[in-house]
Amino acid sequence: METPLSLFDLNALVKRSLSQCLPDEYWVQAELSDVRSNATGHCYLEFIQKDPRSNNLIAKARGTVWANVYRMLKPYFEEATGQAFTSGIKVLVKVTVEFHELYGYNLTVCDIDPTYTLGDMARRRREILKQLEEEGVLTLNKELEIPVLPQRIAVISSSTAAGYGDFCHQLQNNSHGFFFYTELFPALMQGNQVEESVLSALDAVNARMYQFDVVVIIRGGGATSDLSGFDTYLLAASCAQFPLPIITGIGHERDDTVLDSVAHTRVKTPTAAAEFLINRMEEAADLLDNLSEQLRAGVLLRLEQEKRRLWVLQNRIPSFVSSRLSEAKMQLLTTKKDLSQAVTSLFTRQKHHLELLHQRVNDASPERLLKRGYSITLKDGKAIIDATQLAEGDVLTTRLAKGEVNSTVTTKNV
Amino acid sequence: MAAKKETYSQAIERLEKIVRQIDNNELDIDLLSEKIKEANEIIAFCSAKLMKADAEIEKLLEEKRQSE
Repeated sequence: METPLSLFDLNALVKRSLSQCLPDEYWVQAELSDVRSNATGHCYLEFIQKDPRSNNLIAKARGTVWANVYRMLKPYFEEATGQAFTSGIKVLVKVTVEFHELYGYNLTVCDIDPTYTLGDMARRRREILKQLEEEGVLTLNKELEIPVLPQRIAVISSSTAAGYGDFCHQLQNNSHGFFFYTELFPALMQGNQVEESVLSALDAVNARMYQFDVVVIIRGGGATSDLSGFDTYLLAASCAQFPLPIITGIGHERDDTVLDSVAHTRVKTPTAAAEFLINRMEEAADLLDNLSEQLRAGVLLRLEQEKRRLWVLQNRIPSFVSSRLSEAKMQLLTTKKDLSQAVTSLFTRQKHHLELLHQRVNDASPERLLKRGYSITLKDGKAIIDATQLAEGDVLTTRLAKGEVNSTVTTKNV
Repeated sequence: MAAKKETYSQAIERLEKIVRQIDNNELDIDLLSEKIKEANEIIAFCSAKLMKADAEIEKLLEEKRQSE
């Protein structure tokens, strides 16, 4: 039997063997777990791998990121992914394999490739969106209509966030003087409790949904790290099916979170969310202005038309009257002329007739006949026109033009 | 409960109708002043909605004040 080794010697042997067999740096895909950093700036964590079907752990290794690396690696990673360097995410890291006599097996991280994590996050978001689509709820919130006047606003945010202050300030100081009512439903907007906290704020709004027009979920500017809380299925499903339109302004530049994808309207910042609401009010105010201007113009036009109609009528009266008058005058003149003519001719005719009669009367008078040599024979004052009326011896009176003579009938010839 | 109060959108619809009637010469001149009065009331109502808290919101504000 060989001389037994001390534990230290054995571990030293393992250490040496490992460094001989695995001298390089290796790119490794793994999930982060139990990430902690201490006051000295070093970061300690566990790398794990789960079986994709059973979700059971199938591999595990301790890892370290030394402070000099971690100082740059963490912001670089978070900047690139919009994701905190924290437990639960998948990473692609370059490691050296080390063994320490006291602390054992350890992977020391010297580099990280954020694109792998981005890809993994995108895949996870796609999966969530696909699931929501299959459930038929993906676009439900987008199908809601934002009220014409979105004045009653339920704000889900952290009360201390700068973004919340910006939002309220922007709304309350809008240049048009539009009225807005905002009520804060406080929630944690970063860290592990985002999902739970925002969900419970949504529940609180839902219980009073008839008192609000829209929900605004906002998060202040600052670091764009750790948006993973907004990429969860439960939160997305809840927002998609929320009965009020949701507007998100969670302040980040990278691809939409799942929450952004299902929300009714997505804007970049809280200020932009306020602008969006103010614009909506502006549209309503513009429509009202246009209508009242149209009304004014319409009424003026209508009155102008009526005035013109009256004026035309008014102007027609004098000319109408004078033409009627002159017509009547003409008629009168004509009639007058006709009348005098008629009278004259009537007089002439009558005079003529009278003269004729006069003539005839004159012609018929006995004096005239007597003067022409005729005479009238009378017996006992009566004119005799028949000899048979007389007998011999009758005394006759003969009237002449001048004077009378008496005579006696001697013979008759009948 | 009293009859539901007219909403902003309903009021705007009523205003649009009056404007249309005037534009299309559908309003008797005798009705004009009455309609203008109605339209002005609607405009005042709508403007107030844009700029002021209505009774319902006042109630919310009051509740908020009391809870604080």
